[in-house]
Parts: sequence; C-alpha cells; structure tokens
Amino acid sequence: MDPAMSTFRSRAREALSASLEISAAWNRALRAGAIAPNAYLAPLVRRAARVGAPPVNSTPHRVVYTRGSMRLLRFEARVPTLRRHATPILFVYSLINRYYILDFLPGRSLIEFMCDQGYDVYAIDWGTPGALEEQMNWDEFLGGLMRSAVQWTLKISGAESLTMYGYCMGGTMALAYAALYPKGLRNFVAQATPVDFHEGGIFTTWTSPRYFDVDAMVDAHGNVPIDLMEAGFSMMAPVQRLTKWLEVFRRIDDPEFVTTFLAMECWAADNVPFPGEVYRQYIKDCYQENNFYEGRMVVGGRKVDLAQIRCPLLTLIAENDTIAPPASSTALDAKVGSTDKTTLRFPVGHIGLSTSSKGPKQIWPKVAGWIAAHSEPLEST
Amino acid sequence: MTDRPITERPPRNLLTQLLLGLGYLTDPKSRPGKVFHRLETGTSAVFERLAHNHTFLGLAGKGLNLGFMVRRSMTASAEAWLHAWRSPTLGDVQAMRTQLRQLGDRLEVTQTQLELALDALARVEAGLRTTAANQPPA
Repeated sequence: MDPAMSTFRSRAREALSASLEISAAWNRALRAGAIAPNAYLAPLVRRAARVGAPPVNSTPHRVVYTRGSMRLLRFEARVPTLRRHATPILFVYSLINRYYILDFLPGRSLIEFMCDQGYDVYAIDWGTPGALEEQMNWDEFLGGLMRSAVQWTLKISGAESLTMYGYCMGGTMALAYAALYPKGLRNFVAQATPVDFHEGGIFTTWTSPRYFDVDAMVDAHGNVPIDLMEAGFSMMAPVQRLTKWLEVFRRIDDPEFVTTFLAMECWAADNVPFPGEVYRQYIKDCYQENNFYEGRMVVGGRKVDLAQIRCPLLTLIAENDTIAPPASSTALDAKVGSTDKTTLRFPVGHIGLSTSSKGPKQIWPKVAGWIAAHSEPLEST
Repeated sequence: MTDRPITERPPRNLLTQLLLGLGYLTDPKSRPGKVFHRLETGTSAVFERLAHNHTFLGLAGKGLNLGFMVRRSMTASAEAWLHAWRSPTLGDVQAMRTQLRQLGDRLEVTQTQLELALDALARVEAGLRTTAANQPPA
C-alpha cells in the first residue's frame, strides 16, 4: 500500500477513535449534569497529550474498619520498609472533597512519604455521605466515628497513643476531638487548619448571616449538594478556573506537567455532599459566631475548650493560603494548653502543603522529623 | 506516572495541534495572547470586586434563600399530600434510618465494651497462669 495512504488511514482511524472516546465522555458528563470543566476538558487533554488517567491514591492500603460511609485505611510502603516508630499516624481529612489529596501521586504523596519513613500510617476516608449521614451531628462524628477510628488505629498498631494529623476542616474537627477526648493522643499536627474564623478570609464574608441562611439551606437540601459546593468554590476564582486549562494546552507536550495538572483537577472535581447537620453547626459555630475559637462551641453537651489539648503540637502554615489564611491558623498556639508548640511556615498555598514538588524535599522531611522526635521508637516497645 | 516514557515524542495529532494553537492564541507572550491576558485580568478584577460587594452578595443571598424556601415548601406539600393518603414519606423513611443508625451505634458501643471486657479477662487469666506456674508443687 502507498505509505502516504497508510499514514492517512492510520490518522483517520485515530481521529475517529478519539472523537468517539471524547463524545462518550462528554455524554457521560452531560448526563451526570457535571458543571466542573474537568469533566469536559480532561478527556480532550488526555487524548491530545496521550497520557492515561492520573495515578492518584495509589499507595497500597487496605480497609481495616468501616462504619456507615466512613472507612479507616491502613497504608503500606510500596517498597517494604522497616517500621521504625511505635506511634502510628492517623490522618483526619476534611468533609469537603476526598482524603486522597494526602496520597496524591507516586513520589508526591504525603502518606507514601510517611510510610517510607517507617511510620504505621492510617487515614479516615469519610466516603460519600448519603441519607444516613444527613442527621448526624458533630457529637456523632467526633464521639462516634472518630473515636472508633482512634480506638481501632491503636488496637491494630498495638500502640498506646498516636499522632493525630488534621488537615483543613479535618484539622478543625480533629482539634475539637482532641479537646473532648485527649486520651490516646501523643502528638497533634494541624496542617492548614482554620481556627480563628474571623480571620477566615473570603469564606467568612460569604457565610455571614447577612447574606447566607444556613438553616434554610440544610432544611431544604439535607446534605449540602455537590453542585452548591462546586459553585461556591468556582466563585473564588471563576475566570482562572477556565483559563488555567490554557496553560495545559500550551504545555501539552510535557506529560509530567499534564499528569500532575489532571490529577489535581480530578481531585478538585471529586466533590462529595457535606453532611447537613454537621454543616449547619460548622457554619454557625465556626464562621458566623466564631464559637470554636472562643471556646463556646458545644458538642454533645460539652464545651470544646482548646486549652484541654496538652500534647505536643505542630502547626503547619501555608503562607499563600486563602482557604485557611495564616492568621486564622497561627491563632491556635495561644489557645491550646500544650507547652511543646512548634510552628513551621512554608511559601506554598493551601493544597501545596500536600502536593507541591517542594513537599518531599523541603516540607515533609521537617514534619516527619518533628513527629519522629515526639514518637516512641519501636525498639522500646 | 504516564503511559509512556517522557523521552518518547510521538507525532502530534490534530487534536494536539488544535490545543497548542489555542494555547498560543492565549499565551501572554504572543500578540493575540496579550489582548486575551488583558481581558482575563479585567474580568478577574470585576469578579473580585463582586465577591466582596455587599449589594451583590445581598442579592445573591436573597436569590439562594428564595430557592431554598421554594424547595422546602414543595417538599412539605408533597409530604402533607402523601400523609393525607396515609402513605409513608421520605421524612418517615429518614426518621427510621436515624433510628437504625442509632441502634447500630449502640451495638458498636456494646461490641467495644465486650472487647474491653475480654481483654481484661485475658489479662486476669494470664496473671493467674503466671501465679500458678510460680507456686512450688505441693
């Protein structure tokens, strides 16, 4: 066959298969009513850059406990590593988005890094809240789900205490837990955790009772729907939400950049509904009235008093954070009862603490070092 | 991380060329891109101002609340209508679900307490065995 004709045929075949694949993906996105650009643009970019789906959340793990939608996961190092620390780490992620931003990509995963450092690593995956979680309140989340997760972590690892590692809103929840149930906690790491909500940036303005009636929302919807959460995040930078894709178009020949970008977009678009009653109290007690910071928040009939946290505390601040602005996180130091307090600041954004290329080189070694210094070595157990 | 080694460069397909073209047209370094960049900066500034504008936020909030109220009223009328026909409603199902969840929680607590009791018994048993082993034979 004529080589030109053969090339033409193979290109035509490729174009046909590409158009079929992309139209099928768009059809799925339209049927699901997706509003995130990722649903429509990712198939285009993947095809043009000839990269596969980004390998997010790939550190080997198994489910060791479940309750409702919640799962407790135990992670293992990809290359068998000798466990060096008796004190396990329990990651507590936010109820917004999914936990696997902490296990982003191979070589850029905080969880993978900690496993490689010889820690026994666990994480709470809140799953996808449904009708079962709609009526659950903070007391049931903290005293029920989180307490069980802590007990099972200790039971499986054989340790008497653990390092609780809270991130973002998960950090706020973990702090409330540590204040109410300090038993079994050896250390606390608060990563990009909002504490003083009057310093909460744009979210404090948007959730002000002048504009936003949280009761009306929860009474109408139960769980906060994905679309509403998505719309809120889009409003933070509506133009950049679309134009950032143009940068990927320009760097389409750089598969590593494309894969990292797609991984981030895949995670950002993977929203889950927010449990309704937890959201109601979160907005009122944190953003609207700042009760969490002022020690007036009541969970299960008990006041959340941060001064009850007496274990060593590490606060991680992202200097360019607009979700948990530094002023909101640094306020924690003055509130806790701990005497051993350390604050580390890094020139990254909110997500950058977990996904930045600086993570494995500059950020995580310092964090792992602090935890190691405050953990029980395995030999002594 | 990717499907193929980074060093390999397959020929660009039509889609790749199209996206690269779009990228060039919007690149701040290219001439058309400079215009696009100015437009982007301007639009962003407008949205930034809107995000902090009390009038806009007030209007957006009122719109949202109206939507919530309509939804709540519709749900309430549907439930009232179904109750009139003595049919179970979503609210009834949710109430039952809550009761089941609370039952599950109580079972969980009982299980934990039983495990703790078993652990304590195992410790007592081990202690008794040690004592028996240390006692001289009669």
